[in-house]
Amino acid sequence: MAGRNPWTPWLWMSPAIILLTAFLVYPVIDTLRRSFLDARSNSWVGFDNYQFIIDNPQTLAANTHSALLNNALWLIAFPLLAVPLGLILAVLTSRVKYEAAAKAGIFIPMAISFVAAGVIWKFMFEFNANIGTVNAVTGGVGLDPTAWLQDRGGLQTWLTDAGPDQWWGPLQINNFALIFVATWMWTGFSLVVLSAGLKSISTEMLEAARVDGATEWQIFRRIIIPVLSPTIAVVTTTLVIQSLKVFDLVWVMSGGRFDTDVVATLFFKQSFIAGHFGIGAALAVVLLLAVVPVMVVSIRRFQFQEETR
Amino acid sequence: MASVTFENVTRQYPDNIAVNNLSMEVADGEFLVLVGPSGCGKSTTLRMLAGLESISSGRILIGDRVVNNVAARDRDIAMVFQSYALYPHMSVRDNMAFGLELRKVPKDEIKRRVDEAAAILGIEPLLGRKPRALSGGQRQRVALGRAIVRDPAVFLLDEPLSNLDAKLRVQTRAELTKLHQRLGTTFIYVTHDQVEAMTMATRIAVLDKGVLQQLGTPRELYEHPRNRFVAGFIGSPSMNFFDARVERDGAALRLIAPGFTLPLAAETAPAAGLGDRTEVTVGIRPEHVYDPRFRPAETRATDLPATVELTELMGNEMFVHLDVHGTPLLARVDPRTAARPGESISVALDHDRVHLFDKATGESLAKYPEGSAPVSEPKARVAT
Repeated sequence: MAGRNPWTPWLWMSPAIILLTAFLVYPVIDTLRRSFLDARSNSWVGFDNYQFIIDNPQTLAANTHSALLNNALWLIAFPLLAVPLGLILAVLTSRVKYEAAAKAGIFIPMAISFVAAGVIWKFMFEFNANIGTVNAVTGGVGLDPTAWLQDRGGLQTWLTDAGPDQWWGPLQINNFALIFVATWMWTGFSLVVLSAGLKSISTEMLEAARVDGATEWQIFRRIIIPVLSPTIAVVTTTLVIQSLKVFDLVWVMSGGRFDTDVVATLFFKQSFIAGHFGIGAALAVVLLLAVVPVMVVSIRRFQFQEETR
Repeated sequence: MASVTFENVTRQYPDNIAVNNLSMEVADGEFLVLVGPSGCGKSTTLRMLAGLESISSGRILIGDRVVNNVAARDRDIAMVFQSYALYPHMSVRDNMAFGLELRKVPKDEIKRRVDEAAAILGIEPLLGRKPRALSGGQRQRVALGRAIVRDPAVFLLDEPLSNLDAKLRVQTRAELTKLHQRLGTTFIYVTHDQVEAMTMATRIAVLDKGVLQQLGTPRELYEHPRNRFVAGFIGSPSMNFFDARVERDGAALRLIAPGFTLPLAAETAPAAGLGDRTEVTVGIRPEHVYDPRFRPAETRATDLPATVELTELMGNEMFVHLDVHGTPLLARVDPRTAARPGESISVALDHDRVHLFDKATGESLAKYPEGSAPVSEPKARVAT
């Protein structure tokens, strides 16, 4: 439009630009800078901090390889548990009379803070069966009590003849105990979003499939899942990002001990307990680099959906 | 191909009866239209036949087989839904092939049948597209195609034209009739539009409040409606109704309406049960109220003074809303009529073409011609 001041749009955008710069762009750049500096951010050390992560000398109580592998386990196991569980529950709750109550019940953990949930489950997982509900239940069916949050024993030892010390990678009982709690908290989210998606599928379409000759299972696999796939992708992306960022649950329940550290807890430990800002910043950068591809994929997907709407 | 039989079929919900004691037979190859206002039970009837709704009592047979406890997928039926209900993630070809794939039809056979159906419907260029890239009319064809490839015993169509624009609806109506002639399969078609029923059906079943009102050919329903509901529902614009009293004047009968009198021809008047002073409801179709200037020859009509309230020119005809001594009447007359709003004119009522109904029950007082005798039990009142 003629006569309009070219600076007007910038004026309107300035609050957002200033806030983003101060609280997002600047911290990212500063973290990047610090990841190339030493413990006190005084002198330039090049890629030493990244070398530390790769070499894993296990000084400063930092098992970087374990943290990276644990995060990878979270990344795979957490969405793999919470998404199908949410989907199954969404289908099941849609067929019961007290649907709203059932969904609310499953969603409630989502409303609890991670710290509170961590504390609750720390008690649930307690070794002493007089306190730990989980061991009380497993003891009830004749199993020995398990130190759920301390046991480094591999989950695979139950499946093979190898002894409990033969642990392999991050597949430890205590990691799965933590992932279980995250699943308990996030299944409600997955359920609610998938259930909304499920509601948007027209009953006529399902009836058409029924008349076409499909069994309930074929309808689920060939109609419901493909039609729901954009929603499934949204939920999965959210959970993947959650699993990369996971901190509070691990921090409260195990404090990262017994090889349950993830990148975020290790980054906190390095920066604020061991006081090595360089390694802390480098770990934060690693985390950032891991999240970026997921974000790019989900943004691309979102744009694609907008265009094909 | 198969016949369909309903035997005393009832569908009961906790607080109402959707379909009440429905009995009818649909012959093999017939195009039966279920018609009625919304909530009359026509869709429920179709859905019970499809196996999407359970039957409270009675039996439904497809051919000789009782299907009450047969799952929808095993009934050998195909259904076209109002919303078309296409699978959005599949191409048109996959949409049409889905039912055949599930039945483990060989791949080349599927391809042949899909291509054949696409050719019949003229949708070959669309086979590779997704449903969202199609127009409403195209989607409707794909939904039809999905039903055709199955080569089912019975086609069920649930208001398939109601989402199309008026022009396309008229066009598709004719195409559906042609398709029925070509396939020769039994069609059962649900609509609330009596024009669709009249134009496509070999027989029409009129339902109201879950009860079958009349089952017959379009002509039977139009000329010999069994009760006031059918008379008012079939035909557009609808039949005029007014109350009158029968008076016997020697051998002749007369209808005394407020302000005017009509003679009743002996052949029109049913002898039985129509005595002196019987209160009746008189029905007359708008096309049997003439402008005297354009009255067809060889009709016997009574001229009455009337006031013109409103005229609606349709082009080929004109609807004239009249007031005859306080009785509203709609006339469908030649557009050259001199009738102008506010003016008084003379109209001719064709007293040979009146329909008489019992004032209390609404049942027709006419003698039924053979073949269109009453089909349902006495009307049961249904809570809605």
